[in-house]
Amino acid sequence: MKRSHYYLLGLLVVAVILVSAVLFNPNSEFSGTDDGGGEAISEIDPNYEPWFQSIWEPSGELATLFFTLQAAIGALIIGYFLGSNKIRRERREG
Amino acid sequence: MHIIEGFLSPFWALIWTLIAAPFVVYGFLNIRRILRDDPAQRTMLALSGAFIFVMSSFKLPSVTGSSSHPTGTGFSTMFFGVGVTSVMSLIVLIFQALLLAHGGFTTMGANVFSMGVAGPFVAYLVFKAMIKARVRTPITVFITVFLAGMVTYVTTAVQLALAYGTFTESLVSFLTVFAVTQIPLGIVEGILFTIFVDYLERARPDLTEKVFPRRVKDEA
Repeated sequence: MKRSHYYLLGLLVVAVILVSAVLFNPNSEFSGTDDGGGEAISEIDPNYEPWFQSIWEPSGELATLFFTLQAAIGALIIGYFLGSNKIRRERREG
Repeated sequence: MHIIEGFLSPFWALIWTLIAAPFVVYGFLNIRRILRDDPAQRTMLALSGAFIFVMSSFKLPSVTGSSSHPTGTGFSTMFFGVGVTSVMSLIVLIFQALLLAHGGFTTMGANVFSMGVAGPFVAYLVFKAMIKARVRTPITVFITVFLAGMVTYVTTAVQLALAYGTFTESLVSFLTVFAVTQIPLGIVEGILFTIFVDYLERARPDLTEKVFPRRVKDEA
């Protein structure tokens, strides 16, 4: 098997996991295990009162924006690196 | 893996902050030294942080119902070790606590410990052992990345179990919430990093050979 075939196989597995995750929970919300932890606490100790609240909480839309911003910052750096590698290789070969 | 703001008593908040702090200080000094003495490593430092940013923003629905996200700390762990990874984690956690009300400042110490110290620590030990045993690179990367994420979630479960209810009972219930949803994500994260490191080894061996010693026959 060629190297690119291994890459494709790997990405295929990634895709299958992600798609099946969505298929299993079509109604999944943008909240998650972090809140799940809070729910588990309420079950174990129903009297627990958090002693400190978040200073502010963004609305759902805004939260999505900030999550996207976070991913964009990372993706920008990785993309810059990949691009500069390509130029570096072309200079060497050309 | 974040523990929600206010969900750890001041006692535990303080304990975890005290445990995590030395790693962060050590990592900070490490980063300063790298930036000053080793400009070639700057690229890798930036990539390490970038991956943690991207990966920890991937909130994906997981098979058990709730959604969950990978930590992305495996890459940084392999190339820079625990200290640097704890600083990177702190940066991301501040971003998320400040802008997303995700995690929090009173639980910051505990979250830095699980994501930036405990996960990377275990992963780093196993990573070093695999390098020594000359395990093939893709397998080494996959296992390291997978462990960094999984151990982080197990640690969070332990932290919550220590703070709430009877330890074993609580641990089981937190583990089912956290760790089980995390396994498919760990596999996804492992595959992505395996592919990236493989690309890196071929495209920029100058950046990887320090950590992954080059083998003569591998380049078939």
